[in-house]
Amino acid sequence: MLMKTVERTRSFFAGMKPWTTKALIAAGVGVLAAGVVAAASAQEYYADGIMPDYYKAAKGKTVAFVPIAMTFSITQEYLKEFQAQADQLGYKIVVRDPNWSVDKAVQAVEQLIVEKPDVIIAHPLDGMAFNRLVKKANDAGIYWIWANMKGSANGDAFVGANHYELDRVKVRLAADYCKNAASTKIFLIQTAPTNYTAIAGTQGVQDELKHHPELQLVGIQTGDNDANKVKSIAATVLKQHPDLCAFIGQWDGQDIGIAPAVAEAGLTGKVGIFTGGGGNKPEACDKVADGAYTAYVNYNIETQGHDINAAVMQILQTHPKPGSQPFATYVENKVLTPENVKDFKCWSVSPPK
Amino acid sequence: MRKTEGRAGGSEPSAASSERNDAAPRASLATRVLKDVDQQRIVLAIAVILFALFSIFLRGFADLGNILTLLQGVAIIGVLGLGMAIVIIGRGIDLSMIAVLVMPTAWMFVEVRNGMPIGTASLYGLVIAIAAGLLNGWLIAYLEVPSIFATLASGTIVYGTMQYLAVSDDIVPVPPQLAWTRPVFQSLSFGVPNVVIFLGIVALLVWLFLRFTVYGRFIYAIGDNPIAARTTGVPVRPILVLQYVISAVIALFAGVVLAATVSSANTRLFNSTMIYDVILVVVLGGVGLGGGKGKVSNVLVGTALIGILINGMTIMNLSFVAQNLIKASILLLAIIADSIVNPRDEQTSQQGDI
Repeated sequence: MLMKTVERTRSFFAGMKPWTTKALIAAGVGVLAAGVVAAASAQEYYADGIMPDYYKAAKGKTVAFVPIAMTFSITQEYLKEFQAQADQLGYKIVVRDPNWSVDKAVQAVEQLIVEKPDVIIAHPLDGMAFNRLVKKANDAGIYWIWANMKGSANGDAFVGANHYELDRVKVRLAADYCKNAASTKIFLIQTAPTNYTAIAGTQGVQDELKHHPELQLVGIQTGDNDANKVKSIAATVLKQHPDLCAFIGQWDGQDIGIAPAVAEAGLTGKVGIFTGGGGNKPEACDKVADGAYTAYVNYNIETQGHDINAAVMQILQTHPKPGSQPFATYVENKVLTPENVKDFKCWSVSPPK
Repeated sequence: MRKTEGRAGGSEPSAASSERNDAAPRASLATRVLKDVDQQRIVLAIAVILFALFSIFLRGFADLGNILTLLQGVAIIGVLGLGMAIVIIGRGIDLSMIAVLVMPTAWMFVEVRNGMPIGTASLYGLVIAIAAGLLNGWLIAYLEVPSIFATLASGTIVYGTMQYLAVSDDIVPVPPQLAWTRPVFQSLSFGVPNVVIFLGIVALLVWLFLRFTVYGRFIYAIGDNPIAARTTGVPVRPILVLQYVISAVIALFAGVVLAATVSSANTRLFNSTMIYDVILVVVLGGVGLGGGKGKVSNVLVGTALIGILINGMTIMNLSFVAQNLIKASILLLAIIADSIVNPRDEQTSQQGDI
């Protein structure tokens, strides 16, 4: 333990900037792995017409990943999946961690465009901030894949949740839940207002509400990705509307603050809490099982990781002109409830250290 | 010292207004009214007016339950504001408070989950907070780095080091061994949320410290005029270190309580605008940014006003952008009021202070 700490400290001071050091380590591991795989996979492929081209398409390529931050389960799971395929097929993963800063993310992409990786996978806090850069990257011959959230530029692919449909599902669940409730009042708590989940999701809520005129949306507030802020919003709303039927949230990372507010108001079991997220075991499945959420719409990040890997390989094999043939892959929105969650296999990232 | 006490009390005229009084021996009614108007009273009046308006126009606002919710929502900001006030009275600022708020607690949760005894982990948490305070104090008192830069950097160092070494996730759930903290901090005593009681206890302790201890009085003296304080024999450098250690320890305790109330430590707060909210309640209540002026009641009044505003705006369902705009405008007004009510003292102010 002590030796480990000393070693970590030393490597920390060597780099001073943890994200830089981490990125370097990741890049180093990638190069090493690529070397090992290249040496090991000198085997010949079965010439069925497509298999050799598949492996050749990947070999020696570089895929850059710009996450929101590397400090939460979603991005850690993505990287685990990306790294696994990269190691297997002999390409390199480069991570640039902007740690929740939109500015740093933009700078990271600017820098990457100079370095010319083959593919950039962007997981944006604020997709609109990347719009100009998508075209710039495409013009520089770099393919662009959006992970789970996008801006208005398409790039080459979007892989992730259909957040519009996701929130429509939550409204339908709430409508069902509120059929026999004292009131049909619902309240929407948004994520950060510039985030794609809030932009697409809120549109979904409003469109679906047209099909449920009985539901009364009594307010929309922004939780800004902060569970504590969500908790005080929920507490205020419950004082104002003690007969509220349900909360609709847009991300479990912040909506974990709703259940304590409901409990403090003495309304546990009387107010529905509908949220969604990446389906990580401790944050999603365990919380659904212990009753923090009435229902949880899961946009499985493990599956998304596989789908993004597939998109990378599809683009590298077909190599269209960058930005010319954008496509989308949406994962299934799976509803988890306290009743069905025990039958569901939840992923979890083992702690990286 | 006498002058300092008077100014701290906010009731004696400032140097500028006494000059004005000398020039016009027969003080007009306006001057006498002006003499009694300080920022705390202005803000208190605004808070009372807002409270009355919201009570009349917003259904359910004046309900006792809502008022407690309102206080609960800003209690942590208020506690941090008390720590920040000590530093600002001593003519400094502590931007590293959010790092100390989130990181030691998150680290304690990680270690307790990994099997470290709760007592040991808590002790280490306290050591980390005190070390952060000592680092700030050393940089500011002995190396004479301006506090705004020293604490900006030290906050990033505390956050970065601990994230790199120990806390890899930015949301750390309360470990099962500490599950008992949930009922403690999520429940009520005598009908009052325990978080609000926590604010009350910290306010009492800070009030006793500032009002009745020599060190507390020294902080006012240093904030009012550091050179004069040193000349009269006040140990300026150790007291500066002390004030940063106190603010760090207050941030640590606030962090533990905050984490217990939402069942997880959220280190992402470091990247949020929370530190501005803390400065907002301190400055809004009338603690002068120039140092030497301010009391616990200033912070409590500032906290109450922000609580009333946020609660009212949430009930009115204002958008995020509108809420931020209103909060920012109020901070600007408070800073303008601060510069009018507490004019810069040309004799003691120096270039580079905030």
